[in-house]
Amino acid sequence: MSTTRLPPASVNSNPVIDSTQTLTFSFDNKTITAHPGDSIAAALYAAGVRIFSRSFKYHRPRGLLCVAGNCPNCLMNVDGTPSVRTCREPVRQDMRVRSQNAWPSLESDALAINDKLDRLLPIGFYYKTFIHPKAAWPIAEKVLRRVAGLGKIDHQAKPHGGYDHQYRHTDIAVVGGGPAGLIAAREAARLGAQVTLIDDEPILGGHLRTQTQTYSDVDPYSGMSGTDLARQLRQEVEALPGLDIIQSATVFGQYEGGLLGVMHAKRLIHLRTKRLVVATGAYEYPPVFHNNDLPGVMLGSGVQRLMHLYRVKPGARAVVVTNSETGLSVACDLLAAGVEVAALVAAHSDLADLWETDERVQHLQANNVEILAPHIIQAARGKKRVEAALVTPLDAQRQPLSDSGRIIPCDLICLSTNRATAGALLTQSGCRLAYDATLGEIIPQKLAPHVFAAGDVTGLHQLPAILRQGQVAGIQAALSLELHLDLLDATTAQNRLDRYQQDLTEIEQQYRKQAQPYPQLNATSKGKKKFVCLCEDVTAKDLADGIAEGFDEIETLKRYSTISMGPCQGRMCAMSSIGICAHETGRSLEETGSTTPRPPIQPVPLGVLAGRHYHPVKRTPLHHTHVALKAEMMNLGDWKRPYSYTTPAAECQAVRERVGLIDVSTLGKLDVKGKDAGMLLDKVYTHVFSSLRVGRVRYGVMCDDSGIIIDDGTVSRLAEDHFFITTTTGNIEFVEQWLKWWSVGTGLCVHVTNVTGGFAAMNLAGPRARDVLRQLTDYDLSSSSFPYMACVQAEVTGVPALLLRIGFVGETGWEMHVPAEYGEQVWEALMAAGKAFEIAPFGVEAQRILRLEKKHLIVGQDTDALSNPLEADLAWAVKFNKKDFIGKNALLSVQERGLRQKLVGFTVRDSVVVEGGSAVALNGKPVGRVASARFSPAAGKCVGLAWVPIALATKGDPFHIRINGGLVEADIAEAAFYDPEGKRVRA
Amino acid sequence: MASSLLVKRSALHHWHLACGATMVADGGWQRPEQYGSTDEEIGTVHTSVGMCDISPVGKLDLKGTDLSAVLEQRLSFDAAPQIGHVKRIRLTGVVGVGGISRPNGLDGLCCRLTRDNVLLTTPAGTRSVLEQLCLEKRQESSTPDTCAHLTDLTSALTAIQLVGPASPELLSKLISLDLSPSQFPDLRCAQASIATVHAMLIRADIGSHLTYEIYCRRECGEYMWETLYDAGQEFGVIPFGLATQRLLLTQD
Repeated sequence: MSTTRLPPASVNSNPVIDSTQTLTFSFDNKTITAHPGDSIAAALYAAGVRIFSRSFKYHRPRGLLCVAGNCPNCLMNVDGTPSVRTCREPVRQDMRVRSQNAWPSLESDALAINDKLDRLLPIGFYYKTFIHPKAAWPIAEKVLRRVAGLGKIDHQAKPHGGYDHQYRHTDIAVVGGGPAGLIAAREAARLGAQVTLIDDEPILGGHLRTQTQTYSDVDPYSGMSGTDLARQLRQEVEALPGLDIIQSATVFGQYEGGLLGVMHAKRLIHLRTKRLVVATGAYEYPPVFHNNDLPGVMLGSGVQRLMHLYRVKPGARAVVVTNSETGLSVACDLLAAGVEVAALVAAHSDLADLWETDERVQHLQANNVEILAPHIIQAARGKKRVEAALVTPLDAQRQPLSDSGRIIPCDLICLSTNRATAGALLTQSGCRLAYDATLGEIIPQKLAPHVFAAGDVTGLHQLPAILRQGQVAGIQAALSLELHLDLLDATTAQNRLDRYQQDLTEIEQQYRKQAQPYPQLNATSKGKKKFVCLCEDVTAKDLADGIAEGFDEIETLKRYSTISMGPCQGRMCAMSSIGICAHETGRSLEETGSTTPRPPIQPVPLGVLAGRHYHPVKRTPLHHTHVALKAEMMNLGDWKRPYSYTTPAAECQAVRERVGLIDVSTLGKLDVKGKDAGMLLDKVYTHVFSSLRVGRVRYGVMCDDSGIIIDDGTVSRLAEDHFFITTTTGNIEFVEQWLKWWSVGTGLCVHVTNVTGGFAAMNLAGPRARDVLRQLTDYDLSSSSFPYMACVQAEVTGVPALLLRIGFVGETGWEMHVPAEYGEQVWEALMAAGKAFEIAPFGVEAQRILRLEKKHLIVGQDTDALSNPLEADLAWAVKFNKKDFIGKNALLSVQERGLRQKLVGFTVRDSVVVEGGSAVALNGKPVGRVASARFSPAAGKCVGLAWVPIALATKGDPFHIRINGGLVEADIAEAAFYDPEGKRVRA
Repeated sequence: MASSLLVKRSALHHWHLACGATMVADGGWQRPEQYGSTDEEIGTVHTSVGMCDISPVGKLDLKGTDLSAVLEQRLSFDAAPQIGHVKRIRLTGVVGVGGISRPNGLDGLCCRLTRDNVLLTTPAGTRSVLEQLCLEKRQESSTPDTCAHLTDLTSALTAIQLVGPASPELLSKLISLDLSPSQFPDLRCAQASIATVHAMLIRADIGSHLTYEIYCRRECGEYMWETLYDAGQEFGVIPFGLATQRLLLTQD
């Protein structure tokens, strides 16, 4: 493909490309050569590509329009990511760029037939068609989804990593790195404020980077060209301390509390700011005329960006359409780039007055550019590209004289007409924006506190005004902070502020006199392919039809037509749609209002919002020991626990016959200190603890106000004013908060501290447990000295340990708590001491079997949000004779109304193992459910716990359990399945 | 029955081993002396950010209803630190990590987390000194009924030190607090979620080196360390050991 790069000297510029280097990438399997710094779109355009996409509905060819990331025309798939704005995305060596929504190719898309079928696809056709027959809809839906849409997600592609978040804070955030933003940031930083400047371009300077004209009335910069001024301001700002600059970043929304969402490549920056300066500028959008979407129809600013930033020659023969002096610059730039300018089409009625002294007009005339005024463009001609422009003079009412049109052959139509202010952030931060008839734009009317606006976003598109506004906003924002300026500085700043504001008033008055909004064409006038919305292929006629169907409010029209709901979020269509809506309904633009720009105002990939996935992992002090033992690990909440080391059955056998060791460090552990600790525990547990003797352990159940079990565990009294509590693994944070909550404001002297991680906890259990532990401690472990449910602080293998004589698994055993840093070594010492007794480590599954054989319940597994201790067979742990405890009243009323269900133990008759969650059935009807069930080696059959109706529990009749569609018979077991008298735990 | 061979291992012990750290015994703890070259470690701390496992630091949780009075009395402060502030506690005649001792004594930190909760930290191996200090004063106290309690959290918390100019930027990826010098200067503390884990963040500069200490529950220690390490990759973060720690402490 031929290259259309301009020589470096032909235009004065701040180029972003390095033309001394080249790189290559692929586009639809062709190799494209580009320069570092090029955007994909610029490189493609330079290589001769003119069709960049196919439209959403009609598959019409679309070419570059804005070259600034504001329109949907250049969306492509880049390295597997769909709908990338290629005019924003820099080129990288070997990147793979593919067109989307076109088959077989962009140049000849089969579905372009839709363009001819537009009669069948009226506005809202998807609401009106495919209703009958109903059976056809699934097929139609599939086809529609395939045909429409903006790219496809590559399901085969590897997940794109590298997303993350960052939190930043600043005094003043300035959004926009154009002249207004640069000046505002400079002024605020000079006054000592901490300023963060965010710009969405790789080089600061905004639109000045593409303005070669020389400016006057902008002291001290008068006589400088726009491009030089851009460089000057950039240098001034970059030299300032206290000024953070985030480039190539998009502010996509303003949220409560001064929070800005900033997308910076793959990073989402949460930027909190005390003051916000919005200098987001304005963007051009195309007027509505027939075939206004043909490739070759471009915004003037886009053409300037191509020429000045990327040094791409945009075409051979151009027509420039304008209603402001911006068009003059575009035309002059085109001439400088060697493009023939066929005509300057100006909508002004009094051109002579306005441009009498403008050198640019003389320059154009000297170069034989025909100036047509007052004229507008009525249509673009051509099949897949612009071949000519149809221009028409305006009558006295500023309406086109249709029959006096003229056809001007050209391959480029530059539109420098309408501008819309980029005020979305202002709206989101609570400012009021409204249509201004004189300027023909929506401008801020009332700013919210702490929010300032400067530059083009205010509707004044004139450099002297822009610079003054930057100064005003910067000083105002800084002065509104508590910067502790000395009096002299503050006064000087205030004086300057007053002077600038006065200047500004004069400039604005002058500017308003000259403003001439571009005429709005009649929606129903000749030509039906007048596109308003490029994202969703909505034409002016569609809008008129929608309004005729009754959707005549701008917000309902938006929802019906989907206008402004596409990737461009209304940037290209909002103003035109408001104009058409006003025209068709006979209302004024002020009455018509505008739609609400909600965040995100630019497309944000979901990966950016999601950021990195943080999933905390909790590991016990013995984790690496388990790993070294090749335990099968499982996730329990955030914890990693050994499921089993060998087989659960073998581990059970070891515990029952010899001795086993399990890591129970995941137990929640609370240290409760204070002389009133017992009173707090009496309050939160159903049992009594104030009477617990020092050195004793007691089981406790915790209920909420409605008597529902929320936790259980052991409570050990280490001293008169010191208790040690264990809680269920997943509940520790809740129980900690619960205890603190119930001690606040009571005046009790009690303090609760979470010490879960501080201890490695191990349960040594089995008939030979004493023989093992005896080798490592001097303490007398006999039952007379250390009985069941006692606790002792003693040394184990030289390490201070808290020993609890308890028996969750139903054997002689000690739960040992040792400082976490010694955990591994104590475990190793126990394993070594137990070697002679064939000690075995056991995991979570063996423990579950063993405890079930003892009918010990697990809160959260065997109980749910409706379980109270009376029905859970824990009445023995509820002391109604206490003055008060949480849940007492509720439990009293449960007692009064009588129990309705009960947690009972059961055995299964056949050699079938049922599962937790299976239904308990009586006479074929489900009446309850199995909470837990396992095969018990001790009982030789399946045992479990089940919730059954109270009548069944009292009578003790057999019942059925539904499993795999069949029923098995089960018997209620009153006592534990193993050692019902509890002799072994006490041995 | 006591075994003199026992050593204390932090939650990050196996990470250090896997990284090939040279381990040394120090105050009963196994600690990384260095991971690679000390020059590289100190250089990274000077120019970017380094991270150090300081879990052996003594940590005491002090809770009480009127802590200001308690602190002033027991730790001899003129005025107790305000909430969110940290004050140094001078411990004289003690020997700390790696045999470091200074004629003026070593500094512990008194971090006022809330009105009624303080975290006291002391250089590794000096916990009992501070504990003793608190307990002795308590007995002398004219109001022995004061409801205040000390709980040793040395084992329960993993402590990680971030040192170097890039440390705030590293943290800004994981924490929503404003760490700017005006909002979070030297000797401040806060409780915050770091990568979704509850943690205490303390700024206590070592000399002129920007230094943050992160305290989180021990069971989350490896997760926190690895998360910080991952987040620090873009800054070239490296772990550093006792050798570098000693240099930092003695250089300034």
